[in-house]
Amino acid sequence: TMLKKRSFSVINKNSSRSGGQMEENCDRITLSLPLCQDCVSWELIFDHTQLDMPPDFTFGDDFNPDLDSLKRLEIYSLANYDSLLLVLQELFELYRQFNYSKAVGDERMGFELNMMNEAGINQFSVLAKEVHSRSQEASHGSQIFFLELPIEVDFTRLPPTLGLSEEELIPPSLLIRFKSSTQVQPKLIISSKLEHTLSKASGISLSMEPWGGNWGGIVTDYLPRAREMLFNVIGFISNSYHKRKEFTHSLLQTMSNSILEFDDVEYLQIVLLMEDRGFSFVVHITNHHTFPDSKPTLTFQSVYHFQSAYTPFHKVYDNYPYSPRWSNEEFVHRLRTFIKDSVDVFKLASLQGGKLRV
Amino acid sequence: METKDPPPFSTHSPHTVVTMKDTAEPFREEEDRINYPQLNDVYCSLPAVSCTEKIIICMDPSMETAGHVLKSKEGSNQESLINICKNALEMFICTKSAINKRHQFGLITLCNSAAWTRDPSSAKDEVIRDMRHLDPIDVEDIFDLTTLFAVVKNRVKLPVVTDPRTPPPYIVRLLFLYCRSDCIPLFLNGRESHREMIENPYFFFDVVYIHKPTNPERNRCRTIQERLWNVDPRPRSYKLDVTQTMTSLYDAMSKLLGHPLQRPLQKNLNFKPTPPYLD
Repeated sequence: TMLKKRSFSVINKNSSRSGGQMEENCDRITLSLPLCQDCVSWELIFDHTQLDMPPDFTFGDDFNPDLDSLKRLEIYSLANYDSLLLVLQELFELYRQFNYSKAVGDERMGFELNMMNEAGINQFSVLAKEVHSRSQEASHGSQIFFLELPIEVDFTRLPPTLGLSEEELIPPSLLIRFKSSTQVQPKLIISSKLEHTLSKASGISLSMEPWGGNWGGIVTDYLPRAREMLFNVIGFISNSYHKRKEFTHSLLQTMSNSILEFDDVEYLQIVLLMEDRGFSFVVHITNHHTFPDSKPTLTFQSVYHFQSAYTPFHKVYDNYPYSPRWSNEEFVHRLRTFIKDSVDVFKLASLQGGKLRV
Repeated sequence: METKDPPPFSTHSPHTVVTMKDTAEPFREEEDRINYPQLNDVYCSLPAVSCTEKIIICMDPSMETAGHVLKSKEGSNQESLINICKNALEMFICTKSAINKRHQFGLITLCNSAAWTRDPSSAKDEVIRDMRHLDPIDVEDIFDLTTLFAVVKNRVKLPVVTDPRTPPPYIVRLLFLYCRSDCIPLFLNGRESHREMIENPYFFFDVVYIHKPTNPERNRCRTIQERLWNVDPRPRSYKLDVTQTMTSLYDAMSKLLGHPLQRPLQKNLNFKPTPPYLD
């Protein structure tokens, strides 16, 4: 098919449309394009009597590109399935530059972008959004700026057993809303699964400092601190995992002949069978994600008595001596001594408080 | 309190291959020896993972269990064997479940043959309830071991072994509680299913034999025990003998709490909290 050149009209949302007859031939598609965690909507209007012609565009704000300069619009063809995509990509790139230019023209944003440029930060997106309220707070004329920057995170230090697939390890980003030069709101953009997994595995909630506080009040100060926070959380998880693993192996070496079961994935649990002068009992050693800062929980359980329906008689012993500075060998030795010293107390408690059958 | 000495013949060697000597038995089998030498090397390389266990509990509700009574150590309490079995099994199921909620429990009832009673499930209260509903029944003087392995093979899929070092998704364990002092278990219809299961390294066979005091003139306990010990010649299985007290059954069940891929070999069991020189 011959590509016909025609002059396009960019239909601005706020101006009147062309005549009614054209409307009847039209198919409208609304596209929602993501930028800075927001969406910009463009309308594509196809004339189905002239399918070989590219669509007209309606842009939501004052974005008004020179369509004649679009290279990909010139080579638009129905025969090439990617034609429309290529046009949209080019348009979107122009849109990103349009927003960037607005930011550069703003005093506060211009300063931030300049500092970022000097610091070599060139991976980011910026969105200038019009505000239609009559609020007097916004001092960018009627504009709010959004800046989104990826946060470099090294996920390789995470233990492989956290249950996160490659697809789920999406690098987080920092989204900053500049409502005015004094009203700046940072936000951590992270998938909820990743956040939940990291929080749970470390016992730390991933929170951001307020803008202008300890992490500073400009992007080039704040971004490295956000990165450092995530680095520390991952480091904490990695360190605890390895310490739990070493402790488990140390215990298994000396007590391998009384092992019932142990968690070979996260090293959060070791269960032993103990016997002292004819009295058998189970010891559950439950470790935590905050080990070695916090000590494992010891639970003694009777193999004869119940305390309620389907619940064997058991008691938690948390008062044993502990120091994170002990070597694993020292800690295991002290644990064994504690267990032996606690048998009589537990035996008495289970005989008094437990029943052979509930 | 010291436990009483176990009966003399219960100090067994798991590797013993036993031949049947008693020719007065009414039933005979084709093969007396179970010897699969190709199995022995696999066990050193099994991964020590705490994967899900499908534990099929084989309960023996023969009338003998109603009449046979176990006493407490002091002698003050006594209870029928079937009730103590149920209590000890309930403790076993609850403890295993507390260690790992994913473990599953199924039931087989041992009559004259093995009857599948319940599919493996991790709903421990339902399993315990079904287990408690088993009442003593009259059985004849035979038990066909062929049916046991045939029914398990039909109802439970064993994991396929590609590389024995690769962690399996689950393992299958038969917990065989046998309570008869006069009825010798035999493979009456061949060992095909048995061989197939025994050759799978993710299948485990633990046996607890609860019986009257051995007396060759009065019962067949010695022969029965030899038979049972010979069902699974592999080193990883556990074989436990219970005769006298309630406590010894609970103690036997507690030894079976270990995960077959992580527990020590039975001959290495040592439950002392501290080494002897610290006592």
